[in-house]
Amino acid sequence: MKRILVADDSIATRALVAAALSDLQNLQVERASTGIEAIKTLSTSTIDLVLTDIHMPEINGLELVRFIKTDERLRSIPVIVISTEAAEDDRHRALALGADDYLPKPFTASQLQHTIKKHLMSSK
Amino acid sequence: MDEQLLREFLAEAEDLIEVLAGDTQALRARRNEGRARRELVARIFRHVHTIKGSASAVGLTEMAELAHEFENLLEGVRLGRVQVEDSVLDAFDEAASALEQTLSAAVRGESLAVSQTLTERLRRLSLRSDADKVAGTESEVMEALPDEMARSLSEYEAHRLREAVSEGAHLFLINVQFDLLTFDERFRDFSDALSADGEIISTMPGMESSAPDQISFRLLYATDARAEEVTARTEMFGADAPVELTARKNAEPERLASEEPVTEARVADSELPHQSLASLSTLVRVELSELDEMVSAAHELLTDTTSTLDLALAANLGRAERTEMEIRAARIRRRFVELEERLIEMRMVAIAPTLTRAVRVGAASARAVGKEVEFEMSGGEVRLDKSLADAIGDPLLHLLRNAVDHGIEAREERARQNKPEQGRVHLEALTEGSRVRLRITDDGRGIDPERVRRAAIERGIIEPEQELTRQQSLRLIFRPGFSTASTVSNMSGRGVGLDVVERTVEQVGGELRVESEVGKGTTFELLLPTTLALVPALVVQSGGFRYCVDASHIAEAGFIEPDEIERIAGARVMRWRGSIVPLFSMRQLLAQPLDGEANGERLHVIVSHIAGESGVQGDNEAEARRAGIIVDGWDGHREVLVRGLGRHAPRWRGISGATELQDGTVALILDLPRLVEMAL
Repeated sequence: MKRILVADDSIATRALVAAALSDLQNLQVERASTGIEAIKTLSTSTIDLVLTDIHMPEINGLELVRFIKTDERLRSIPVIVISTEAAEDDRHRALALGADDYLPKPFTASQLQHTIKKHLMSSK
Repeated sequence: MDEQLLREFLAEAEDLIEVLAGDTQALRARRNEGRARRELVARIFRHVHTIKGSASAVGLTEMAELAHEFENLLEGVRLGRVQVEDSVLDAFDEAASALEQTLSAAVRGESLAVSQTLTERLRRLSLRSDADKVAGTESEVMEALPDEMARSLSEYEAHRLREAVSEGAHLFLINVQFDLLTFDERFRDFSDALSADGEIISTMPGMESSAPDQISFRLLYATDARAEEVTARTEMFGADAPVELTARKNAEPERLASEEPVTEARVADSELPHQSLASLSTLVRVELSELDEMVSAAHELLTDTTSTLDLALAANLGRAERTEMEIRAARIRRRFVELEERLIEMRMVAIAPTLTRAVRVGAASARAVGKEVEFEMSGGEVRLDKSLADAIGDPLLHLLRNAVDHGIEAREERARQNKPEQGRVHLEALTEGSRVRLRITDDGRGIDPERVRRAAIERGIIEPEQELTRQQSLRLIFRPGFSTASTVSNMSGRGVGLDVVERTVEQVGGELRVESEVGKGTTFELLLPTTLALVPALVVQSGGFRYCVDASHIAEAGFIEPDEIERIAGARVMRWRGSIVPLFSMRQLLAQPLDGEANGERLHVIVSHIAGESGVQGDNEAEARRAGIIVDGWDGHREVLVRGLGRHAPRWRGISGATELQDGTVALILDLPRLVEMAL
């Protein structure tokens, strides 16, 4: 069983991601609506992959990436940033901070599944 | 497209757009206040961004396209390229209302073409590049930052920082560590405290690798406050001394008078309650105050109608007419009462979120003190008035923390007593007629009434010779000053600030009870009215005034002959259902003159239970003690609309509210059990 954490302040997006992943076997989706909630989940349970939006209240997605990638306990968890095509600056910065990949929004279910599978495999 | 997903999106978008509309208005009013402007723009940006993302995900492309252009313009504003001037604000308003229209079309299942002129205008505005007013400060500010921090700031953060500093804000670097188990709430409190008087530009992981059970943060914080003030504010959270990055300017007194007052600068809470998103377009939201006005209006109408009907009935009518009239009058009254009750019900919410929050905090504090506690929750579907649900949130947290800290024993101690290692705390809500019973039961060490009594004597709360029933001894833990000392927890277990809990519960017309068995556990019970509103009451007369008594407090109302009154040790008593109960007169309880009390005639008596005399199961007849109260007379039963006494409530124990009677006079609503207790 793999557990992925979806951090996004939009309920609809979180639901969308969960729906897109529902037909993947052995995958459990945890959700967080702020960066702080995400860190909380990361530090209290085992997470295999993080999918995060950039714009969130409290601690945003970039700050979250920075957190995960500077924490020895969390560093090895793959982080995928969801960003819009236009937000090039955000994307570059996320990758510079150590994000493992990005997913341009809007994405299809199969794009999402593909990206997630790719990173879950390589993290093995 | 998944129907459920679409519904969720529509519900969320509706909420966001509503906030958005308010925010664009606020922005217009506050565009010259640096910090407020930045916060509003950031929030509008985030919400438009969310709408864009979800709209495209659910296939509402027109809407996504509009949100996209809107977002681009906001990005320009966010980065300071575009100034917030009228043309931009107008475009914001138009874009927000266009989003709203597209959304309502989508809710109806239609699609609405977005005006091309609007998207074109948004695009044109976003391409503008107004002169950057704050350009000059750049290098200076960035140099003050530690290297790796300057590098990791996003363009937006950097701009925000420059702008704040150019407006005269000081820049601080704050390191703070929190306990891993509770850091989310602590961080929230911390950032709330900081945001009250400044802005958090960026949050980063702390420098030092923290202890395994700690998490550390480094915050870049811009504020007008002085270093000492910032230190004072952060110290409370255990933060290291803040490091000021900006050199203090010499021209200190020049701080502009135009700076907004601190408290106002805080933008209203941005987080939307997620529960509300279950709603869809058929739901409308109503301000609680408007609902209250409707309740009042309905009640006044009821009062007017009732008095009109009474007048009509007093007229000279034939027998058949009279009967017909009475039937009709009864029906009209009933309908009014139903209408009023339905309005009042609209104020009701399920108690589940309140319970869940309390359990979450309880669980966190259990982890914090290293106890294994299982929490059980039942009755989440019980509904009560919104304001009551809000009011009991904190008392509940308090009681739950208490149960974990002081009730549940440490693991070793439990093992010694042959108890399961894991403690149990059960949180239970039950409806009982017009009341809600909330019970917090733990299987911990219990409270020894004898030890409580001794502690109260030590603290000078009671005299050594004072005789107390078991229940009275237990209730000493609710006395102010009983237990601020930590010694209490070693001694009897409980009591930290329980007086505050009791006061809060009483303020909303409730009652706090306790029952405990040494070695077995403790139960606290909150007995609450479900609504602050309609209560069946008996109107009684005393000393020339009329008062209302909650009918649920009355065991019986009847008559006794003067010679049925007996005396025991000088005190008046009467026989009631085979037992002897103390007898008071209402005038005595209300400190009214006793003269003119009916003499020689049979007396009106009501029998009430006594507050503080009943334990948790106290309503069972055998255990609860009663008292008889002589009144001058009564005016029958009424449904009365209870109005709270607000801030006066704590000062007037024994008075739970006020109400307007049919003839327009105001009558106090008595908390009879409490009044009797005070006279004992």
